[in-house]
Amino acid sequence: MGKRIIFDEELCTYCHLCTMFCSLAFGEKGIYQIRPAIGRIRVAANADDSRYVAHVCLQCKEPACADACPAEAIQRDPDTGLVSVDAEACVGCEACVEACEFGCIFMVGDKAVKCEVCDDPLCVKACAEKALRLGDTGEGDALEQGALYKEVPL
Amino acid sequence: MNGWMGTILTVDLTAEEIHKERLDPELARMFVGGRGMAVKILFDRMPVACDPLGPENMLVFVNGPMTMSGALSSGRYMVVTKSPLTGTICSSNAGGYFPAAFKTAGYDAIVICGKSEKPVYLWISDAHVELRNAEDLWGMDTRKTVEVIARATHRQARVACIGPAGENQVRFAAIINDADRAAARSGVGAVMGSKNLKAIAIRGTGGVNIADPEEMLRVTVIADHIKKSDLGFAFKEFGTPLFADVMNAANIMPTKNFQEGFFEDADVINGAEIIDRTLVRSKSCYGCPLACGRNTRLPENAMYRGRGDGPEYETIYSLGSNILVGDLDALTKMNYICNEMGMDTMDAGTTLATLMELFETGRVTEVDIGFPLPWGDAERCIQLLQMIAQGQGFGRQAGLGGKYLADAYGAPEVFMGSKGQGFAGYHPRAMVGQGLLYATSPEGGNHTTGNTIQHEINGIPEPMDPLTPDGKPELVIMRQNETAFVEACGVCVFPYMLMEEGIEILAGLYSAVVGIHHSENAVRKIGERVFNLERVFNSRLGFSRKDDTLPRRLTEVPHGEGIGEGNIVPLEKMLDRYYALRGWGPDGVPAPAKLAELGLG
Repeated sequence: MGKRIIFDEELCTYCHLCTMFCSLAFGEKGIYQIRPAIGRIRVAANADDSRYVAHVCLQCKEPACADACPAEAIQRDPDTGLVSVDAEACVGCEACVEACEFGCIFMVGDKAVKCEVCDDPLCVKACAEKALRLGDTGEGDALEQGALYKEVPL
Repeated sequence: MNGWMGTILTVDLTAEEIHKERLDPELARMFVGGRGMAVKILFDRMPVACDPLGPENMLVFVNGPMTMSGALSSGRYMVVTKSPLTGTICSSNAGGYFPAAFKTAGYDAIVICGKSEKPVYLWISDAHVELRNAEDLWGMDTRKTVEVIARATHRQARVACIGPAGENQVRFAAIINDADRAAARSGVGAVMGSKNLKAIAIRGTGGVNIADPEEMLRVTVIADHIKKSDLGFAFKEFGTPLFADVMNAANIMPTKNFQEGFFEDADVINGAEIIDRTLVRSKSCYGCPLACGRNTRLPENAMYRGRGDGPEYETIYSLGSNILVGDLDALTKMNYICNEMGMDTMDAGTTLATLMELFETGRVTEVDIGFPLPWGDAERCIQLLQMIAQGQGFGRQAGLGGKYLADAYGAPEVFMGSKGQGFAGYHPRAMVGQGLLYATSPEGGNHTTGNTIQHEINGIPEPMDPLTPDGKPELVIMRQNETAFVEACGVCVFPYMLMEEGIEILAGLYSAVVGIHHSENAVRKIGERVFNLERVFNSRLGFSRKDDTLPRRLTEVPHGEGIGEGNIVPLEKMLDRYYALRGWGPDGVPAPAKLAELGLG
């Protein structure tokens, strides 16, 4: 069984600590940076500021991002269910970003990046409200979480 | 550098020139950032005697090395300038999301000089900096301005702007960012208006370097600790409106222009009522786990329409109890108007309170204002706030502030403020340390430069008698120095000034972010340096003991029924000791020996 980050909209306060601490794990080697622009999880608000939603990859069974990738840089591991990007193979065409209807894959420079589920995710640690947790892919309702992403896009 | 971004941006609006310089490490070491760095920049680069609304005044937007560092509540920025309301140095700060964009765009400070010939706004996208025409935006409210600029620049742009009040140079005009957060006090918005600068819009994609990430991760433990505490729970649940019950119970919720300290209708404008009636949800500033923001909207059955943030406690006092408006819908509407028009809710309220008392005593009449203004008349207040912001009729005069009105109509004693700035929502007759704070704050009647609530009212770390002057000079000095450091770091005062070990935690996090180790006492020393430089700035302008005053209502008229009945603020006695402990002369001017000790000689 694979893992994914499960999000509870009720608890989110739009603080972005998840994005901030996520970015710590992905800076240049040897430099520790809080840099939201490279975060693999991003928080959106709706137009009238009544809903806050953290976009983080659902690890889809049939990932549209992978289907769209002309370089086959995005693969889903059939055993763990994890969808990952091979940065070396990524050609930076952004087809995956267009294809993901949930807004959960992002461009950082000329490479596509997404949540690949850290062992001990800093986003989960940083979320004081516990709106995020590390769960099994079979847990929660990924479709429901995906529906939130369409209702409150980035 | 860790923490700092390493660049100061200067924008000369007269010459339409943009200049970037490297941050001087010595400036950063001595003054850290935020309020500290900015006062030093102003002191060195600006003629202190300048007209606050003239082109010589400078407007410094500044963050600190801990802004956006991941430390607790790190999404703050400040606007530092010479205030048109008080004539002193001032520092007005705000949270929201603009500070995050500002910092990650790569700047420690943006220094605005001169005056543009036509309305402009500043667009910054990381290293790209550009002045753009803002003639079409002039006259627009703040929410609309944010929307229009985001459409014209980038959807991730964060915007700080003025509304009509700033354009019309209302002396208590605010700079509003993200439509709902306000660098509200001291008239910083009027300074921006005087420069024909409508807005600063920023998109930032850079990062803040952290010296010790392992130590930084401990922040999550601290955050957990706070969330589980009563303070953490109460802040998320009620926000600052929780103070309404606390202050009313302590008989210090200013009522009817500080005539009393208890408001009988407080329970219909408090935190619980907001939850019942207007709250959509609790909302955080960028990087803050506390989520004390009140995202609200007026319900269907209200007389008014609108949405936004607030009210905060200070607004509940200033536009509620202090003008006898016991109506949450009306006071929320007034809050929204202030945000949309770009005005400080606090001085808007103290100005209204001054006027109501002048009206009651017949000094200002219906003919002057255009309508009667009795206590508690929310409809008229709403009307007058719009007139103030738009500079219409009597509004133009009212926009000069409560002190101006009280002086002009021959009753200076009815303005409840110090150095021209209205007080906050803590009645000093039953909390005398707060009175000393108001009198000695570098920017007049201000509660954020070293609030004594935690000690005097909440009894943390140990109970302290709020009615006696004993120990208060020591307390106020400590709080002022600590707060100056907090605001130099670019973080929010709430967790650090309300947690029992806040300053110790902050000193630890400062080391983790910037890699410079300081003891608690060392950071207090930095705060003391900042505070003293602000004092020197004001002293050069002739401010001294004669200006460290409180209205007679606080120092001579005994407190009413309840806690502290019969009490007054023994200000002169406290001032003597305060100046001596500060190492200042009896006239309140910093002595050369103290300045030399602080490296300010």
